[in-house]
Amino acid sequence: MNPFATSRVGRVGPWLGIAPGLLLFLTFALIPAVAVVGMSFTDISGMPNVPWTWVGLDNYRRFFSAGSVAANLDVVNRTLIFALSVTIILNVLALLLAVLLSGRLRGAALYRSIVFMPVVLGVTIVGLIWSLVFNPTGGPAASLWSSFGSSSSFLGDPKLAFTLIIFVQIWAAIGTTMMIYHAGLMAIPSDLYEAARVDGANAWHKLRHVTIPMVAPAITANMVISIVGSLQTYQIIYVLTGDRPTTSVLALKVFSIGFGTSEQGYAAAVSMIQFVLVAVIALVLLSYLRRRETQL
Amino acid sequence: MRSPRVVAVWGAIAAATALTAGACGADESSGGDSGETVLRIFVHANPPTDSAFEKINALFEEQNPGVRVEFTTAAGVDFFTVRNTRLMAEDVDITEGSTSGGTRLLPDWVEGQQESDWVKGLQAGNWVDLSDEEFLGNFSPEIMEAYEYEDKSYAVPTGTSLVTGVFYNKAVFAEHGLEVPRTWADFLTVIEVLEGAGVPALIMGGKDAWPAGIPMYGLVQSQFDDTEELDRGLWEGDAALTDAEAVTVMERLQTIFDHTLEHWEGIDYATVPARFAAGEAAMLPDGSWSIPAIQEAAPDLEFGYFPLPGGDDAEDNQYIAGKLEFSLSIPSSSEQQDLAREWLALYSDPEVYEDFVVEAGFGPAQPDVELGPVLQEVQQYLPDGGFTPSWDQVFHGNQYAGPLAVSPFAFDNVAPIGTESDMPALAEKMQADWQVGLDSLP
Repeated sequence: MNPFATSRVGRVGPWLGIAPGLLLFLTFALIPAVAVVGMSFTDISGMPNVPWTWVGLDNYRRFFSAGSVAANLDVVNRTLIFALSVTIILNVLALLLAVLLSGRLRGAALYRSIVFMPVVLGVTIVGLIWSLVFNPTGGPAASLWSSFGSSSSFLGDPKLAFTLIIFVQIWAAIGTTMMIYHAGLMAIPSDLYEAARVDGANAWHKLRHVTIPMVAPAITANMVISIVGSLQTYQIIYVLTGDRPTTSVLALKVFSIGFGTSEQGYAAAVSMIQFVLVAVIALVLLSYLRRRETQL
Repeated sequence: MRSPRVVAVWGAIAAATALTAGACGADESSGGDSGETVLRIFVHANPPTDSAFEKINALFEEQNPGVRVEFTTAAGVDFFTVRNTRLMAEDVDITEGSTSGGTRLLPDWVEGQQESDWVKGLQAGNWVDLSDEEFLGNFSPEIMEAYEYEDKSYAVPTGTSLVTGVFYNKAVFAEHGLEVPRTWADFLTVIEVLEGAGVPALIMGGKDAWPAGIPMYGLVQSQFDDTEELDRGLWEGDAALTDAEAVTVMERLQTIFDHTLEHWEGIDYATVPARFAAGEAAMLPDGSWSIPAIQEAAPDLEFGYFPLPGGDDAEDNQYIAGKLEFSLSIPSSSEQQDLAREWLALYSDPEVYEDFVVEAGFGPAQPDVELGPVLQEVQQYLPDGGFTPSWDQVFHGNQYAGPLAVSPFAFDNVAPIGTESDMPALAEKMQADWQVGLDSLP
C-alpha cells in the first residue's frame, strides 16, 4: 500500500483497488480450501438437509485401513511414476526441441506453432483424438501395429494403457514447456556463444556450459509447473481410460469419490493427502533447483 | 473533470459488475418478462429416455398454455453432483430420487455401512409425499412397493431393465443351425460352432470396464439359488468367495472373456450395439436398455435376448434378472409442486407411459403395456412376479473391504480387462479382501 500518502483517498485507494480481486480470491480459493480441511474430518455427504457429524480422523484411517492401504499405496505409487515420468521426459524433450527450433532452422516459427498446437486443443479433444488413434479395430495405431505383424488393444491393455497415457500427456503439454524454454533461450546474449566458440567449445560444450546454466531459471519454472501439474492431473486419464485399477492416480481417485459418490468428507480427506504430497514434492524440488541455479 | 482513463476504468468495472450479476441469473420458476411458468426437470443423460421425456414435455406444454418445461440432463458421475447442487439451490421441480434399485434399507445382517442416498434424502425430508396421488394406481403394486418408505410413496417409477441376458443375432443362429442355449454346455457348443465357422461369438465394450460385469451377474444368478442368501452368508461368514460356486463364476467368466472378439478390452461400450447390429459378432451380453440402440443401428435386424446359461442345469438358467430403473420425485424445495404433480400425472397416464417405456427400452412398471417384439419375447424368461433382482441389486458392499471385494465378483481384474488369469488364486485374494473388511468393521 502507500503508507506515505497524505490524503485519506491515497491511503484507502489501493485497498479499494485490490478489494475485488482479494474478495474473489477469498471467496473462491482460500475459504473453500480451508473448508476442505474441515470437511475432511466430517462425514458430510453434499446432499441438502442430510445431517453430518464430526468423525475425527476416521476418513484418514479409512484411507490407510487394512483393506484399502495396499490399493491406495498403489495409487500413490502410480501417481509418483506418472509425475516423475512426465516431468523428466517432458522437460528433456521440450528443451531439445526449444534448442533445435531456436536456431537458424528454416521455418522454425512454423514448427514451434505445430508443436504448440495441442495446448490449444483442450483435454477432451486431445482425449478423443488419441482414443480414435488407439482404436484397436481400425485405428491408425492398429494399422501401423499390424504392418509389423502384431496387434494390441492399446488403451484397453492393462499393461500398456498407463504408458500410453503418459505419452499423450507429454504430447499435450510439450508446447507450453518448449515455449518457456524458447523464451529463456532468446534471453541468452549471443556474446556468450561467441566467447565459447573462441575457446574451442563444440555444440555439446555450448549446450552444457552456456545454454543450460543460462536457462536454469526456466528449468526451475518448468520443472515445478510440470511436477505440480502432473501430480494434479486426472482429466486426460479419465477421458482415455476412465477410473480403472491399472490407471488410477490420486487426483482421479479424489474426482471419482467426490463426484461419483456422496462421500464428500472422505473425498476431502483424500484430497488433503494429495495436497500434502504435492506440497512436499514441490517445495523439495523448488529448494533443490534454486540451489542448483546458483551453483550453475 | 475526470480524465478519460479514470472514466474508462470505472466504466469497465461497472460493465463487469453488471455482466457478473447477469450471469448469476434470476429465479425462472415463475414469471419473467414473458409471464410464463417454468417447470424444471433434471435427469441423467440417456438418449432414448431423453427423447421420450421431450415428447411428454411437448404434450404437457400443449395442454398447459403459459407453461414452459425446462428439461436438462447431465452425463455420468456429473449427474449426482449437479443434482445435489440444484437441490441445494432449490432449482429443480422434478428429478431422479432413487437412481436405481428402489428403496433398499440395509438388512439387519449388514453392519457399519450407510444407507443409500435415496434413503438418506427420505430421512431428511427432501422429497414430497405422493401417496395420495391417484396416478400411482396406474403402476404395478409390486414395483410401487419397492420404492416405498415407511409405507408412503415418494417416487414414480420409470420401469425396469433386464441385466443378465445375451442378445443374439437370429439370422446368424439360423444360418449355423443353432438354437438358444439352455445350459452352460449348450452355450459352449454355440461358441464352438460359431468360431468353427469363422464367426466371432461374443462382443462387449471392455474399454469402459463395467460392461464386462454384465455376464458376471448372469453367472452369479445361475450358480447361486438364492443371491440374498449369498449376501447374508458373506456378511455372516457362512459363505466365502472361495466356495466352489464362486470359483466357477470366475472360471466361466474367464471363458466368456476368452471367446469375446479380439481386443474387445479396447472397444468403447457406446459403439458396441451398432457393432453387434452390423454383424461383428453373433452374441452380445448386455442390458435390455441397449434394445433401442440396436434397433436404431439396424431397424430390420432380427435379434432376441436369452438368459445367460451360467449353470449346468437348464432350471438354474431360466430367468433373466434385472433392476428397477430410476424413479422421478418432487423435491420438497420445489416452488412448482402442483405443476410437477400434473406433469407426473400426465407421464403416468397409461397411453403416455406406454409410449415412454417402449421408446426408452425399459421393461414396464405398469400392467398391460404392449411391448416391442424383443421384450415381448423375453416375457417367457421372467418369473411370475415379473421381476427378479440381479446381484448388483442384492449385494451390500462393505466400505472397509479391499478393492477386490468392493463389488464381488472382481470381474475387472480378470484378463484381458485386468491382469489375473488364475481364477482360484483370484478367488483367494477376493476372499482375503472381503474378510479384512469384516475384521475392520467399527
